[in-house]
Amino acid sequence: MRSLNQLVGVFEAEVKTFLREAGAFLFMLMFPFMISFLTYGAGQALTGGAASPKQWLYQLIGLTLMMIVFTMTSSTAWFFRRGLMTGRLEYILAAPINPFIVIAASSISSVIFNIINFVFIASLGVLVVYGPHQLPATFLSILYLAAALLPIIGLNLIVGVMTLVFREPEPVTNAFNSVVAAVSGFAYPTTLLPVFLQAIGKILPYSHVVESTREILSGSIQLAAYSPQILLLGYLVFGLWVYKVGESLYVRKRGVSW
Amino acid sequence: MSGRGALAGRVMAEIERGLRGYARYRAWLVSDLVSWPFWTMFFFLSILMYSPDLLKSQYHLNALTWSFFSFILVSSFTWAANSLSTSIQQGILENVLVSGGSVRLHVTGRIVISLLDFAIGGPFLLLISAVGFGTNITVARPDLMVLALIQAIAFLYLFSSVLSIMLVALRSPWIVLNVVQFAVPFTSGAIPVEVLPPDLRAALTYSPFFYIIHPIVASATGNFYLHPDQLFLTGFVVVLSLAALGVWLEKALMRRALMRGRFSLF
Repeated sequence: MRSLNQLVGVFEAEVKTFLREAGAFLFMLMFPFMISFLTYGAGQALTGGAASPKQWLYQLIGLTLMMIVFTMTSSTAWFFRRGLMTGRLEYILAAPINPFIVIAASSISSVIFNIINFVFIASLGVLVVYGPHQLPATFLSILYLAAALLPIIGLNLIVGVMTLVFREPEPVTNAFNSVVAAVSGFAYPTTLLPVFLQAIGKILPYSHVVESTREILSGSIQLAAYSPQILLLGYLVFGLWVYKVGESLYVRKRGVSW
Repeated sequence: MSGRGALAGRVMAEIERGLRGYARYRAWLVSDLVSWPFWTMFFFLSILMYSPDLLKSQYHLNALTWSFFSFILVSSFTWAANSLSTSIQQGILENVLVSGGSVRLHVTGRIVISLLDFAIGGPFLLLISAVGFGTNITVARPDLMVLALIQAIAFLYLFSSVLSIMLVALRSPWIVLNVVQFAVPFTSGAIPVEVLPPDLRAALTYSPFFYIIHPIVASATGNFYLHPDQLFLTGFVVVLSLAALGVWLEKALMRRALMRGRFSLF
């Protein structure tokens, strides 16, 4: 019960922080539209007008999810960096609260804000391409994303530990995001990639999340195809394990002062 | 020490700070070397998804390579805008300003890292494109390319300073910067204008960034949307205007800081 109260408390604080910076999130809303319209425009010009709106929606959904993944990764990395800089991390480690509770609360608030963004963007895209009858699928995708983004929290914990080791979040997130962006099929089918990169894309959870979300939105849900995705929760367990090892072998021994 | 000597000393101190920071965190270099090949692939395939056959067109591969080259340039400098809020959180900026420094001067330290990033990432991208995609890298107008790069670096230095002043009070400026690094180049001529629909092409000319980014790509392809004289002259005016905006914003920031006791424009 105490842990739940702690989780709710930190969650509330994080939500307040996000609300103070709502403008930044509104700005983020524009990004997938902007880039997908640009590439669609380029596609129209390159193919002599043969680019289909479904291809535009394909990229719109993918780029929206890419932004969600980037925001979650960066938010974790910067959470640790700020904690290092301000000394907050030392307080958290010394306080009678499990650091995982703090990170989980921060990630959950980030997931909620990102899903709100996603619903807005996906609804508009689905409305334009499939029509209003397909809109309920957007809300079905919320349920899917709420579960599917959990493995990503596990990977973000690994990014957090790497930020503590390397001290700077930008190089860590930049390298991580570039690999994830290239192999996960956010903006193009992974079949365009060399086979070994396709394999990396399949191992990571992101391509499964983006493909399944597209299927849900287009109405071609095949529940049987989703059951193997439960295995992706292994990333959450693995991330927690890496965090725990990092905390006991590195953080507790080396300290987290700047 | 004379005013000019003191200024030179401060500039050198900031440059030294940047170089030391880069040398201390070798992760920067490793990160660049890991990330550029993947970003290149992501960018190429995002556009060529519509027409994978163009992977065989040397003209388009060369144009897209330079297009992504300009993205690397913008991205490297955009992230420098993050440094000011970090300096405030660390309590560094107040000391810098009390000792007679300025915000724009302080950003110089981080700009050095951006320049190093670009100096490594840019040529590395050209290499990846040549080796990985078999692109025959060419520059149609090398003289204008040099001019375009100098103009772009001057602009992006000022842009980064202005952006850092505007985002100074944000707890998470990286949210905005993540978007800006894509939005600025790709809405301003980084995607070769000849592959865009005519209406979109015309609309891009209303962006001030167009006069900074398009000359880089156009110098490589030789395909200028406007006459080079017109492009570079407008670009020069844009750079001067941004410099004036930077001075004005810094003064406004300082006024507000003195009145309210905290750094924030909004």
